[in-house]
Amino acid sequence: MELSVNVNVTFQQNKLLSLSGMYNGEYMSAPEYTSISDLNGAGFHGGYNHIVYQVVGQPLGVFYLPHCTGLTQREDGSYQYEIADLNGNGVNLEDGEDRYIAGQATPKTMLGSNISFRYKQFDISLQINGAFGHKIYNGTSLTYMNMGSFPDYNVMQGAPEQNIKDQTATDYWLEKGDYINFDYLTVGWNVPLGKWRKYVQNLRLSCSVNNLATITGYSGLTPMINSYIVNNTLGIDDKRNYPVYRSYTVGLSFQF
Amino acid sequence: MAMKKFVLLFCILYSFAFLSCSKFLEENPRDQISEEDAYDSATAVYLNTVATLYNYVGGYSDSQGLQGTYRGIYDLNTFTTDEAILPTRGGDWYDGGFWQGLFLHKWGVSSDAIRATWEYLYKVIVLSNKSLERLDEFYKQTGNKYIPPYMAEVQAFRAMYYYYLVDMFGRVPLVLSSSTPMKEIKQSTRQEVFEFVVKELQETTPLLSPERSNQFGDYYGRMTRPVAYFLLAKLALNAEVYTNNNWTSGSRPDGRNLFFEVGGQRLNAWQTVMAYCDSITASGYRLTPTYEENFSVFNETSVENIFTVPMDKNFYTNQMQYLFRSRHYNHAKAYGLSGENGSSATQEVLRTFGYDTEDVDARFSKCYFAGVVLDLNGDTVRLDTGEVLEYLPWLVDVDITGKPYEKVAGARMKKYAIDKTATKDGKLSDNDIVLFRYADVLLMKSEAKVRNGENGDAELNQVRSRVGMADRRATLENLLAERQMEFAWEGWRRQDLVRFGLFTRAYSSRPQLADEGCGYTTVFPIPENILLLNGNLTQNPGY
Repeated sequence: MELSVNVNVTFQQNKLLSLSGMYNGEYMSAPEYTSISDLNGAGFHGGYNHIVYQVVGQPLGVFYLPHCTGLTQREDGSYQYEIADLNGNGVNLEDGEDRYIAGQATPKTMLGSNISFRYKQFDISLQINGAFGHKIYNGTSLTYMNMGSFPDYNVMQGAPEQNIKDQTATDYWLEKGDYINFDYLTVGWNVPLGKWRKYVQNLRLSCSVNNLATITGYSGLTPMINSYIVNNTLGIDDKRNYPVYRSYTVGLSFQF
Repeated sequence: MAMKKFVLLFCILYSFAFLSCSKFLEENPRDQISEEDAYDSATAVYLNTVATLYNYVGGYSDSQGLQGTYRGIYDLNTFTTDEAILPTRGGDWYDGGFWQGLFLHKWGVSSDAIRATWEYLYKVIVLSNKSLERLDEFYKQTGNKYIPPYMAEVQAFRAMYYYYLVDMFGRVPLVLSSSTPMKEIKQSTRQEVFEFVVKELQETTPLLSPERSNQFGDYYGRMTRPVAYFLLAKLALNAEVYTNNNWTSGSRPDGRNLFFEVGGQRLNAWQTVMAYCDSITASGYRLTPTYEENFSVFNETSVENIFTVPMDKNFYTNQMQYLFRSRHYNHAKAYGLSGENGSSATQEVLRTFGYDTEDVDARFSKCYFAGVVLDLNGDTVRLDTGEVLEYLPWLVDVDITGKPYEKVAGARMKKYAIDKTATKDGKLSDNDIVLFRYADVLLMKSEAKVRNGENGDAELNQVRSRVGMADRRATLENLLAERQMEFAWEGWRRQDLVRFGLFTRAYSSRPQLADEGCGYTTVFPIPENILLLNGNLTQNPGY
């Protein structure tokens, strides 16, 4: 009998200190807010669709968004996002106006764990991954909870009841991205061969499930989006991700 | 012992590798020509300093090119006016409030499109500066006679880009060298920029080729003398605006008191417009018999067009995306192309053209699709539901989401003939994009005459009679309406409205902004990011 538990916890922290300074005798500076990733696709091109930014004094990749205080009903019964006037001079969605740092796109803590257990001819191993402390912008919900686009575009279950007709990017659809994912579980049996060993050295039968389960509070299809690479998809679940799928594998291996 | 041998061998091999390596590092890339070869003949000099700049006149990605692409000079001059609107249609065309922002004049100081347009204009200017430095160096070395005309061409080309800057941004830095350090880049007043552009164009015109730029030949698509004359006429026509350093003050200089030196004579702004217009007439430009032929698939033969963005499916990558942007999906599909079902005429356009009245202007049906749509065989185009596709011009608004007509409201762009062999969803067609044409010369002259207290009926009615419309008196009001009809979808509306002092007024679906009356929105803001990069620059008034 053999039990092996391997846990890896990584804490990561970073801060963008400065983007200006002297170069070849010239003072160079960068804008205070520079967008890293935006929403995209029909109806979401340009305008106030910047989501993740680099901001001096903040970690690289923060959500810099207007704050939604809730939904307000219009005369026709539909709802819109109520945007807070953060600086008290009228609502303005531009950088430096009614936007605030609403969280970071990269996880603060990451977990990797492998547990394996062997008993006689049987073995079982489980890989667990997790990430915590970051947020995800649910652009898929922003797009498909918008009844304004129906029936030309599909909407999600629950959209007709909620009846939002608005597609302004606010922190309404910014969610916690924490998750624990059971990446795979493998059960193996090394078949006792007895007298057949002179023909076959080893015979192993295994069965594994990939992407067994995910524990998360995130409401979208998966919290496993790009939360690591600084590019134009960082931190955004923007409807075109092919969802992660679960796969079952049965394996039979012979060693002669 | 064996080890020593091995070490020795290793050293020899290593030094071999080292020796051969240094030779190997001498690159002779086959895909590049060397600096000497690049400038060894007149043709090579032309290709590598002058011709290369024309790559930037058109474009295929956002904010690039003078016309043809989205979110650039054309959109900032068109969707900010009563000429065109991109209504939010359900999930389409909201785009983070961008189009509504343009239409309502709430574009803000950190608009990506405005910044990208600024960057595009300065990119071409800096490339022109580089070319000029290169040409200058060659001229000093060789004294070749063919170089000064090239330098004149590049200078005039750069002046055209400054013309767009002075028109859109007002107070901009004049950067005249490719190596100016950032701290030396300072804003000039609007008047200084204007005077620089006029001077550059006036100085270079005698050296420019008198050839036509819009027709095939050695000067196709290039900055030639008539193109420079056209720009000079435009500059003089807008001189009241461009010499006004204080555009939020509520008053501006009078064109009769603004003087130019033209051909040894001292002329006021309006006389200057007339003089340059006459020079273009004398160069042989005239109205084509029909309005449409200026926008046909092979419009390079037009005697009217002066300056175009050359378009060719095989030779250039320039695109014309505006028909694609306007047509309903099924309308485009009926042509075998694609559409984005977007841009439409405003209600103001419909009223100016007299749409839905008995005396609708003949140009309406040449510039717009309205009502039931027919395919190329004359059959009606249907929606996916089987209903007949009918554009409903009067129902446009800033946001028509949820309305039963959200997908079909608005008269759509026609203007350019359909190139059935167009590629890229119909965006890559052969029709050259018309930037400057002779009808504008006539209307500029008519306007200059009226503003100078003379009678401009002849020029105005020359333009009107070409499309079979009855004569009108040349008044400023009629001229502005005429310009809206003649130049529908041609990107002039913002400049015209600013010159007529009407850019900030309210119109259908667009209330005037609270503090807009002073005229601060007649000039775009210096992009916020640009201000942050260079502390010498200050924001335009009102922003």
